[in-house]
Amino acid sequence: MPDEQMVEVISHIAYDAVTLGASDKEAYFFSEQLGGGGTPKTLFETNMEDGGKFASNSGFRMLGLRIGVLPDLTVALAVALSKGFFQLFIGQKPYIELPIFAMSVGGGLFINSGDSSAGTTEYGMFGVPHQYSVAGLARPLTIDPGQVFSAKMTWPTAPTACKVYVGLDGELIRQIQ
Amino acid sequence: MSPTYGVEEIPSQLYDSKTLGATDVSSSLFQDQVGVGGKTFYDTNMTASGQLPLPQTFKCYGFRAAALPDTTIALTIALMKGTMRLFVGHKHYYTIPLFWLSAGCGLFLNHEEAGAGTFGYGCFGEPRGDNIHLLSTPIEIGQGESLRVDLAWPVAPNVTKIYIFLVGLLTRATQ
Repeated sequence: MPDEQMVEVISHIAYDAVTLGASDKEAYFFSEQLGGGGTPKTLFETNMEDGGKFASNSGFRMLGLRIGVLPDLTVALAVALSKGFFQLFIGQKPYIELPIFAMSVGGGLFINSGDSSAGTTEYGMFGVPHQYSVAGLARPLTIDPGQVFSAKMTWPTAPTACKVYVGLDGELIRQIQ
Repeated sequence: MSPTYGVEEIPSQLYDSKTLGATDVSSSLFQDQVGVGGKTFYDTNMTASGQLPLPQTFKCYGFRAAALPDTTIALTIALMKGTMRLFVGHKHYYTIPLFWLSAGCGLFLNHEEAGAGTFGYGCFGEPRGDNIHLLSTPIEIGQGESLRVDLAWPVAPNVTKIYIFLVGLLTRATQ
């Protein structure tokens, strides 16, 4: 971690999104920074300022993990996405490994509607759209400045085209300017 | 804080809202105080534009994002497909996709099943008072520091109103 005298500790969610193609069975997260990627990523897709690591002289204390999907994800796609496997790597070592259906979103759309003819559209999500629906870690994971990290999702069957997010909840330790 | 007057710390929520135009893809909140641009306390409780009035300070412990209770599902979805970024001074302190925020309030519909109508309303998360996005470390807004929340969307959500609440503790001079 940076010199404690010169830093501030702020709450932070490090997030990254991948737009899956129709036949993609793998997705890699946190490797591209803002403005990077084939289609340059915006803040809607990521808040990473460096690809694969936190900005120089910044470290991260990870306290929780969440998945993210857009609020109009269909039920079928949510089911397909959930049938996969998630890994978080710090350096070369895996630190979190989970079936994707074991992850939750911590937010999302809540619908009030009249039942009888309110329409046939249904949306799927990962867990109840409530902030308590975020998986906390029993012990924080530390990602030091310059330490490479990544996340990966793998599916036996391609979920088809959609966007999926990974969010790491925690505290950013950054230099005071 | 000056020692020449007493201070009190009270639970408080700073809020501001924006009615988006049909093509708006971004907006900056907390820039206009009550009375500016026709804003009333229904729209904001900021009493100074872009900052707190002296000698007030604020510790932000969480965020809420909300649409009005009769916002359609489609508009709520469109609003949620954006990002929020909080600036204090010139530095950004918190960035999050809007679909990860919640309102902590909202309409809950009780209705009879048959013939209840064709309407549908959306809400940022479950309408529960404890459904607030809390921070592990508060963000401090000091005396005279500028404050701004930027919202941005890849696609304009269309005409609708969005609120952002900063939940925390307000320090102010005792009367």
